[in-house]
Amino acid sequence: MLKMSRVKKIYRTSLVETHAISDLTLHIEAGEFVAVMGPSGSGKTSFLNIAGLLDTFSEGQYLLDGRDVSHLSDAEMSRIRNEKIGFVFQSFNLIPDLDVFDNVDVPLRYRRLPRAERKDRIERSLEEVGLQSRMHHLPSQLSGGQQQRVAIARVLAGDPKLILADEPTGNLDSLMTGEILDLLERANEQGATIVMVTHGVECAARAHRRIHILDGRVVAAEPISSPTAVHDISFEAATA
Amino acid sequence: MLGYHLKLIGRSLRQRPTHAMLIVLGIALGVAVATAFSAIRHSFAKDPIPEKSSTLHYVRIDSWDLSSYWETVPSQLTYIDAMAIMRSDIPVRKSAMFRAELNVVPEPGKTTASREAARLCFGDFFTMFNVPFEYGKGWDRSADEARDPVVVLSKELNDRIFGGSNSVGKLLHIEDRDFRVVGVLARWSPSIRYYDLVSGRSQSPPESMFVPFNFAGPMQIRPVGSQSSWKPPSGPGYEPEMFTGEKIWLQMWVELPTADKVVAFRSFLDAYVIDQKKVGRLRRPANNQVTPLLDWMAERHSVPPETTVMMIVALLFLSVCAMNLMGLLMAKFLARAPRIGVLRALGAQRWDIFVLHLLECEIVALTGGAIGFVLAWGALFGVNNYVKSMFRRADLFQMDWTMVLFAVVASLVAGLMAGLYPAYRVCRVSPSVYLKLQ
Amino acid sequence: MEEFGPIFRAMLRNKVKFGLIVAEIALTLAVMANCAAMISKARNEVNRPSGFDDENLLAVSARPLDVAMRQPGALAAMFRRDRDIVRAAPGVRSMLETRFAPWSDSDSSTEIRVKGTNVELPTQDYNIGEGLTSALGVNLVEGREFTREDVDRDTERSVAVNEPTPGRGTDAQLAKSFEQDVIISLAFAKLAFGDGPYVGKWFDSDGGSYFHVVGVIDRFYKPAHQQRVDEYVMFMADRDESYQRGFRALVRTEPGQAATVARKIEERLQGSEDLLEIKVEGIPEVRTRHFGPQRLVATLMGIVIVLLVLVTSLGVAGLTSFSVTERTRQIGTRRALGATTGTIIRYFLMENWLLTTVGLILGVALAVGLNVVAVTVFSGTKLNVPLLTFSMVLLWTVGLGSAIAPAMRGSRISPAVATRNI
Repeated sequence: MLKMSRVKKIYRTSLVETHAISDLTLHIEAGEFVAVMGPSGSGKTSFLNIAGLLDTFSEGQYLLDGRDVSHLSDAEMSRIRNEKIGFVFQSFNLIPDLDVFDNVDVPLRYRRLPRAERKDRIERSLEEVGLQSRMHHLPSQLSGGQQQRVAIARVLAGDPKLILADEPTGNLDSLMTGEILDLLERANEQGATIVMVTHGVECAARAHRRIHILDGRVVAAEPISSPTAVHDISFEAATA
Repeated sequence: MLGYHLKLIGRSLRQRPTHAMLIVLGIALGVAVATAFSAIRHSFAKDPIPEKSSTLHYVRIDSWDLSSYWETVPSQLTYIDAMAIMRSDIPVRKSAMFRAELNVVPEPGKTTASREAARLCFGDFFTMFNVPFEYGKGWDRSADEARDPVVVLSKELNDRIFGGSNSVGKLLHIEDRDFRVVGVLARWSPSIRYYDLVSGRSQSPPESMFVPFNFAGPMQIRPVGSQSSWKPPSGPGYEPEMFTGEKIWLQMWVELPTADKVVAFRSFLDAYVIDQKKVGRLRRPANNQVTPLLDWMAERHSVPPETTVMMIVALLFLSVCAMNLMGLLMAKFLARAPRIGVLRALGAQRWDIFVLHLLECEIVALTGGAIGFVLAWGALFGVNNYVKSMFRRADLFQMDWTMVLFAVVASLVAGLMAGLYPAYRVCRVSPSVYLKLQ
Repeated sequence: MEEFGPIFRAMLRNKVKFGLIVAEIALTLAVMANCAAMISKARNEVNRPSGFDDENLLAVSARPLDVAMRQPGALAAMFRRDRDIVRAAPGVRSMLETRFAPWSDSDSSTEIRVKGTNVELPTQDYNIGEGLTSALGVNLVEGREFTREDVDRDTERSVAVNEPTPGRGTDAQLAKSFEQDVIISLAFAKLAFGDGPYVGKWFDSDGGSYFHVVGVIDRFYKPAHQQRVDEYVMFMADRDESYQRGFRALVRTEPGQAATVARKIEERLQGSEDLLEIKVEGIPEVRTRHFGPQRLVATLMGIVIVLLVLVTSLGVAGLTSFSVTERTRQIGTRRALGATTGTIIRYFLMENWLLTTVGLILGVALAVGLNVVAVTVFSGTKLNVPLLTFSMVLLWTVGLGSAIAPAMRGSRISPAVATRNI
């Protein structure tokens, strides 16, 4: 599903060159539920940005669902993000001026789906996260956990192949954390690949596989254990 | 506390100078237009002689014929009626007058001859209207009676003929005889020539010279204002036409400082008209008018309605600028909300925040207002230039202290309009919202 | 547009912020429309034709500066000299001695009765010399013009009436009543007599003078300050030779030569043996001066409109810019969810469109309201629908244009903003 080879991301200013990602090589199979772990500043966020086509990379190769995404136009990338990827953000990123229904609706509108289909999808996904009664509330009227569930509904409504979650439970208490992870697991059971960036132990435990990133490179990665695995992963030892 | 507030404001203004400049310019533009247009209207609408305007009265008698057309009481008097009024002792000061054009022939060979606008009036004119003198003074009643050949020059004429020097005592050849200069006026430029709202454009400047009224007959001087008669003269020549006929061509001003005097004068006028009717004149119903200066100006529509409309348009423009300012301030203040949250968490009162922001807004408004006033002054200068050839003067629209006050008030009000709501919104910021640690 | 509903609903939740710019646009339109109406009215007044060949007309005035000219003999001689000089100037097509000049600030009018009736009719009245039709470019519909003999005779009589000369005495009879030939305009003829023919009809005035119609011209000029006298005019044959007024004539030049002829006339009059105050002015200049106030109003209103549009455009740009900055995170999120740069631009432009449209609709109501007040309280000008429409289109375009730059800035916000944590 997601294959990166020697990906580099370099930020250049007039004074300093920062390697956010110095050398990233990893392979995630379709249907996996992977936790990407690492301390602050390790490049987790940059990895996520590149994985989700939110940001470009300087060198290397990235194949997403078999397709080389290095030289895509903005319109093509937006389309992929819209149709193939779903994001769950640490700060929920709901649009404050829209109610729950309209929030879940946002990516569906970009897909230009007809009204009836959108309504159907929204209602079903809100039902799945248990918030259909709050369809016309504003985000400010919801708790943190509820907001994140709406964000997940937003993801589920689009039926993406890949779900990227950025510390999805970072701002939530333990009860909520459990609920969110349940939802993610359910989504995974229904066929979505889940890549979750986290440094929480409980989250990491619920994932099926863990990949460790430090200083912009993969330092350890568990082997793919799913029966559909094609071949062994390779990893690079941390070198100075 | 105020000093601390001012320091904070100064710092915030210096932080984003282009933003602050835009805000200031926005208000400056609004105040400039509002002040300039209001000054234009004010030039026409203001009381030209506030210290005396309630005492000066314009006198009219209806001497017109029954069968002929005239909308209301005619705006000028016949010679007979004017002279009769001049004989009354009731007014403290009085003058009949008219505008003429006379040839001035300075020393042959020096400056060229020219036709100058002249006012024929009595000596009381200068004291009645507080006309400012640079050299000398006007003439007195005995000079009028003796028909003393004296003349008062305007500053402009004196500059042209005598190079601006003190020409009192010198002789000036006007038409067919010499006149002796007894006074030279200082710069006198009322926007409205309020002592004569009948001849020509009232926005014209005052005349170049002033000559005793009693020379009208001997020199056969005819007016250049309006003159009308409902019947032809009884004979040929100047006197039957101008003096003994029914031609109306004179303006009459009297100074009546107290209410008693006004009452007394009205009685005198009424009695005179009744007498004249007995002789067969003044056949129309008596309609004697003793009109105070400001009422007379209003009656003559000395404030063109367009200027009032323009002033209103300018004030609306200022409102639009204030709305703009409100939008900019909302953005600016709310961007500061995190910092405000911290301040509040540290103990700042809502009132302090509110006052701080309102103060900042007013300071910005006043700065803009000051710039706007300067812009308005420049604009007025430009407008005066534009209309120079129309009214033959370069100082038609003038700024005065009232306009300075107007600019200040306009800035403050605009600032208040613009800043009240943003200041209120920002002081309502609850500290907790912005103190969330992520 | 794909996102109309949500955009609209989101805007409703921010009523104050957006309401402000809506109000600003409404007020701007209201003021613009009324100012435009005022400008249009002023320009119509300024462009009103006089009916004459204004471009090629000159008003000539030569006033004696020598008091010796008061002597009738000397005065008459001066007039003769001036007349000859002006008429002889090259490029002069025709000359009419009269104090009348279209668009001048001084006009003359009177009341006259049809003989035998009691109704006073208003009319302009002017004394003229010979050459009426060629100088004004009007046509006779009936009767004839004044000949030189007419003018000489009537001028002499008028002088005798007004300026008694030693040795001549005063002819009281002369002064009291006489018959005077007049030429009138067709409009006045209709007013006075109904249907023609008009030649031979009589007017009278108090004092026993009678006015005898000898000619009728097809049209005349309507002065701006007086509505009563419309196009009514009565001309009397009289060169009006007075010391006070001096030599006054309306000169018609060959086409396109007004400026050169004016200069020539001025030069030649300067060269005359008389001491004169000379003024030669093209009628277009007189007209410009006459309409000074209207032109000033039009210019000032025009400046206000430009400033208004500028200020409002800055306001819209500012609001959109602030909107973009305030919603940086939201924009990033939308991009992450699949919005293209175009989608973002369209989002802000749609928001802008909604604002502008609502503002313009309110603005029309406000414009009408403002106009009602202007017309009733200040006798202002009624709104001009084409101008109102044009103002709306202009404001709509400007509003949209002001939002484009901030919208484009918004579109450049990277999707990576969505994963940034505060």
